[in-house]
Amino acid sequence: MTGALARLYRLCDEDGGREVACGRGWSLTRAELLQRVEAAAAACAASGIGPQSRVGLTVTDELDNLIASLALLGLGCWHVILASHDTPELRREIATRAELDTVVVGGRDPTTAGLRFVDWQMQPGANTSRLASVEGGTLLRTSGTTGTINLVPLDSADIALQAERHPGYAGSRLFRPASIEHNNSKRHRLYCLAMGGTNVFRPAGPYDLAAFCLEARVSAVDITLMHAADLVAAAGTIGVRTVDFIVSGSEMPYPLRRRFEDNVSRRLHVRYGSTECGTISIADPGEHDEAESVGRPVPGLRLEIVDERGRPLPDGETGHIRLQVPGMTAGYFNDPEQTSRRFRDGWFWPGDMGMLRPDGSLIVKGRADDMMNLNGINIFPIEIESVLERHPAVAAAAAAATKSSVHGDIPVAVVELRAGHTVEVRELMDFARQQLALRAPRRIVIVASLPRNAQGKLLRRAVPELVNNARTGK
Amino acid sequence: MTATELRQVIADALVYASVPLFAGSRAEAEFREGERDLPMAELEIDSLAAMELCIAIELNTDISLTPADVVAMPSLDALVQRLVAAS
Repeated sequence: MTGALARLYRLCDEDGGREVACGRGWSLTRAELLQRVEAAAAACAASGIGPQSRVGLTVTDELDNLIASLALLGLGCWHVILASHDTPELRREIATRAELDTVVVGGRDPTTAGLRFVDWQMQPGANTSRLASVEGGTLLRTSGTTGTINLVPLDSADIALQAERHPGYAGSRLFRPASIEHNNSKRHRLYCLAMGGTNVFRPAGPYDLAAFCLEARVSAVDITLMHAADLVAAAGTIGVRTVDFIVSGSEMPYPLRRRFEDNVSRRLHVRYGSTECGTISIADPGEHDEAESVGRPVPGLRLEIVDERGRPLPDGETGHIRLQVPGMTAGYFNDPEQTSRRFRDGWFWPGDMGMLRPDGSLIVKGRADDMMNLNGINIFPIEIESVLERHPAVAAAAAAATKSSVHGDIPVAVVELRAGHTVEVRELMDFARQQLALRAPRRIVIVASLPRNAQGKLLRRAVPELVNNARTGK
Repeated sequence: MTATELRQVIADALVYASVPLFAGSRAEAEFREGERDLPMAELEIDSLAAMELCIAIELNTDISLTPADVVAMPSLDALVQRLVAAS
């Protein structure tokens, strides 16, 4: 099995002078990057880091973080990022959960008191050598909506296999506004390296995205849904119309896709994937429609829609998504319970509901846990949200269930209005009722902003309380 | 909730459920004002309308009734009184 680092070595052997990473005012070739990786590995090895080590990484500089990650992969050990955007408490929890018994590399942070620190920066004049063929891996922390943390082990070979689903990275100059300390950024930066592309890193301090894309000749920008909404809202974003934008997260509403195509770039891709298995499907330009498809599953990935008992359902029927793909994690770190829930019968169950259309494209309906059952009618939050978001006064909506002993789940919703707009709740209720009939929310509350976590992920579970508070005047 | 507030909740739910003999009628206006009671049998509430009525009551009062409970009430005022007593 070839790891991500071995691939980089091979690419370097083919063309070591090719630019592999750059930012404002600096650029590195493959050969230069690998030299730094080897130097960092030598420094780490000199401090006793080896295949048995489990290392926390607190390096905030993106390039340094990438170098340290590759060095640790090359030393055959496992590492986890203790991100600066997380609270000290969360970093401490991750450090404990990941059993970081050995060393923390780079930076000193009170979270990790008691662990041994290693300054991984290479001293000048030290000897370096090509790194071993047995590569380690990384434990990636997923930010769930349920408040629980999962640590997803991916070894370097898994990462390389996941990278293969991105042949387009080969010639691309990839920019991600989100720091490499984020799990998604880390994976895609490594994919890009393994496929022979160039990673473009953001400049320090505030910068103009469009101007920077031109300056650094960026060909692809990988963003979150929040970034996408910000870009649409920012007036005068021009000059990026020929840049590919890849939006991760399956929940990009169609109206936002349209506005993105009109205001930002026609080259919009919406990607569905998970940390556990990497990219599942991508809707490319020309594949966006009202149904909010996330495109066809990528080649090499086997995806089925099944019922509760795992029996495959015909096209057009909504059920549980399950899949098999090379490069998938074997399970969660030290969590057999969660592992047995998500990895069953040789399949990975991402916990999403969806349907396949006859043309093979996938529509993700939402989290299985979010599905509501109102007297036997299955309702997904996203159906309600996408209808409400079509109302001209509504900027964004979140729907969830209020539990009922009689009806099961009663759908309710909160909406955030567009700046300068007002609307009566009754009008929104009628609007939703006309399009959703029995699936309509039975109460809608207008809120200043939708409940979201620090990563901008919608927190639907906070919706019922917001709705109830509005009634009781809290 | 007062009886007057409960009447609005019930009336809103019946309008929402498009109960033909109620929505937009003079009877609706008079019921809202507390000037008229309406026998359940006359309203011809179907099961879906009964469900909407239960949902509206539950969302507004936290009192859980089944559609059968609602349909078994002799009149809308009787329903109001039951809710007043329970809340």
